[in-house]
Amino acid sequence: MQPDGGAVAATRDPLETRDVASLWIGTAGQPVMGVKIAIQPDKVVHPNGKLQSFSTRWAELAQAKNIEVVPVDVFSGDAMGCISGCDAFMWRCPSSAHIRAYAKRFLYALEAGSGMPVFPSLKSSWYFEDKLAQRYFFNAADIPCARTDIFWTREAAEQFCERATYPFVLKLAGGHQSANVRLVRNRREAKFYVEELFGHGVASLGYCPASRLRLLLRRLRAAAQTLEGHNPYVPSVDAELHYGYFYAQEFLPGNDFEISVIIVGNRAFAVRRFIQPGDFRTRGSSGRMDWSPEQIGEDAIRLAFHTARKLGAQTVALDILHRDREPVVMELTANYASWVVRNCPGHWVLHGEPQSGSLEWAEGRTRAADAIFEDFLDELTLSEPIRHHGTTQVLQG
Amino acid sequence: MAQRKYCRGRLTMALKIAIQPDEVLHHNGERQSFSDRWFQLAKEHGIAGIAVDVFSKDVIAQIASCDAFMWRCDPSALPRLYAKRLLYAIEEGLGIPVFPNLKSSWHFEDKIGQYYFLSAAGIPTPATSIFWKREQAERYCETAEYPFVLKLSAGYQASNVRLVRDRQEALFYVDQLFAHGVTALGYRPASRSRQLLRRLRAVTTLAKGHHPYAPTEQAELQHGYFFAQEFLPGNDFDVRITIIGDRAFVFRRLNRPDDFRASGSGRIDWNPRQVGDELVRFAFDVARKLDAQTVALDILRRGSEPVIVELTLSYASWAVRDCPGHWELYGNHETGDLKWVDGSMRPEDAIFTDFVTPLLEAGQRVGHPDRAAICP
Repeated sequence: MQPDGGAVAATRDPLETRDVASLWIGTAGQPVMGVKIAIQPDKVVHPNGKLQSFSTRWAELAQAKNIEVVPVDVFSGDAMGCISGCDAFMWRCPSSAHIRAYAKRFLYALEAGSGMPVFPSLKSSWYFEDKLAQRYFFNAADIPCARTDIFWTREAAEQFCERATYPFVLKLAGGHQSANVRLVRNRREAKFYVEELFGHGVASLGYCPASRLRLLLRRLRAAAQTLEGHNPYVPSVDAELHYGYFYAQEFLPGNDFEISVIIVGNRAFAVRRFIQPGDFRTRGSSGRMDWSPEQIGEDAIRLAFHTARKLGAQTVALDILHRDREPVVMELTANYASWVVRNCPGHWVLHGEPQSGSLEWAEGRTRAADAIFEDFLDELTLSEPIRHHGTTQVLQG
Repeated sequence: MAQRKYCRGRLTMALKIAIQPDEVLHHNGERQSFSDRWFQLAKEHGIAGIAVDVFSKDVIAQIASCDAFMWRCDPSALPRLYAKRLLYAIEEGLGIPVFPNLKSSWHFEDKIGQYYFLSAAGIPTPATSIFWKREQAERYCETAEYPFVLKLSAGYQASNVRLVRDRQEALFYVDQLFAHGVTALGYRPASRSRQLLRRLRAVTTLAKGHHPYAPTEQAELQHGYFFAQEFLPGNDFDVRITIIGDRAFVFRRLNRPDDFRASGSGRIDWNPRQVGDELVRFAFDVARKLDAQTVALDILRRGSEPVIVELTLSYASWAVRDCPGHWELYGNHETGDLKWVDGSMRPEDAIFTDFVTPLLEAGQRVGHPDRAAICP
């Protein structure tokens, strides 16, 4: 398979060299076991104009292996019925709040209810856009992370503001935009956000503390929206209301860049994303980036493998900063941009355990969609046929 | 490595279970505390029950010093949304047994998730339509068969379930759910002037600095979906089957007077003869597919076919305790023996026994890695 960019990996993962098709395909080229994968189409145009569609690539790969692809529409009424006739399901779902609220339920219900392999699996998706859950997981799994306090009552949050070390970083649980992260510089600012988060709730941290007049104007605007029957604090169906918690994280100065490590199975792809001038945040995948592998410390790669193994995730992207010299995990992401992975000149392959195993550098570009698909086929082959559907006894009388 | 020691034929060692205290006062005056009972049972078994505070800053450290964690979490929004995150982080991150574990709690107060699970598992449910776009919901209202049952995904109170009798009423709720969202289905359709009054009231609330549609500790804001379920006439009661491990506790809940809802009616019939074996086996089938430590199922009938309406994790203990006995399943849900066990049993006890038994057995095999045995 020729990855984008033309270069073929010189050192290949054993999974990649394995002839997956031979597991099912007879000599006539027909599916022996009639393996069918249901795939939800996805399409994203990134801010840099790059078009991304995991589903299109997966369909090409499946065709090459003589595996039948069943396109599904997860929002249709018969989605479950459609998928239940297949052996597995794949969906690279977008991160917007409304779809996410649906996808989390749908994916796990399918995994638990049908017993079929699902991408992303629960272990790969439960933390999706949920920094609160991630923080509890990091602590429980003893994964180095930035010191974070989460408060569930207004009083506790207010007390924290009195004695906090400023500046600190305030975050919302979800949202991949920089409007959901703020550097809070003083007590007044902190209390403004406590009021917002325990008062009406917010869809983003877009508003900053302002003069009384300005606050009055904001309230008048909200009143006008309320009169029209809208919820001023949830401007659209796709907005998620954040309410009833306060997430404060230590500010880690001296980080000019963050390392983004994307793990797919036992492969690690890494890139440095530079902090915007005059800010403490990166611009996601639209800012300055550097793909040179020699700039990435092995400790960050091992930390990323360690975290991914603890999660049991099929794939996960980790944002890593440094506290002094120690790498710390800031955030987990399930739906990274595929072009960032494709631009990596190669990737690391882990043999053995994250802390002690050998790290081998595999030269050449690889698509994230390809790596995910290959691992998923492996999972599908190894999984036991424990389908629940169709076995229910319909009781009469 | 310290080995567990036995005193007077009983295991007495430092197995430690972190327990979050819980307390509920039910409408009928029954006080319920799973944790109180678990502390008592732990003591009787020579296990150290360690009270933790899940809202404290060092909760993970508190729990990390124990072998397992138990929390009978309240179904109201704030603790539930927190518990779902904490419980799974503990289960996966610390790798210790947790009650409720993920398989028992992921559907907690989430009727949408439950419906998708039941569909995926091929378990009969009332015909259900879930819409994620306003246009689709509005189109459905044009062609729907009335009455239908409108539900909010979360919420255990009757105000989260409505019988929608006509198109006007249905469109009113579509607007509520896709415009500002709701924390309950409390408001009903009203005249224009009344609706204007409601909006003015909302503006007044806002002027005072509050959010008119703000979620509360009890209820989250629900919006952006429409959950419609077929109305099943002729059901004067539902059958509630509570599964704990291999045990099934059964009773019937009679509808409230002049209402289609049985939940919370308090009119309970514990006579086990009123519930057939086939329903008990059906309930075991569902619980085993979930692989849940415990789950309560509400069952209605569509004609003669039983259908699952809802799954509940945080059931009231007194109604289970008052069952005159329970069923125990030996083997497969279809062919295994169903044995009736006479006598009342507390659900707290059944849950604790199931949770602790494998821990004690593992302790006998391996011994605890880093804790000295305590033997008077």
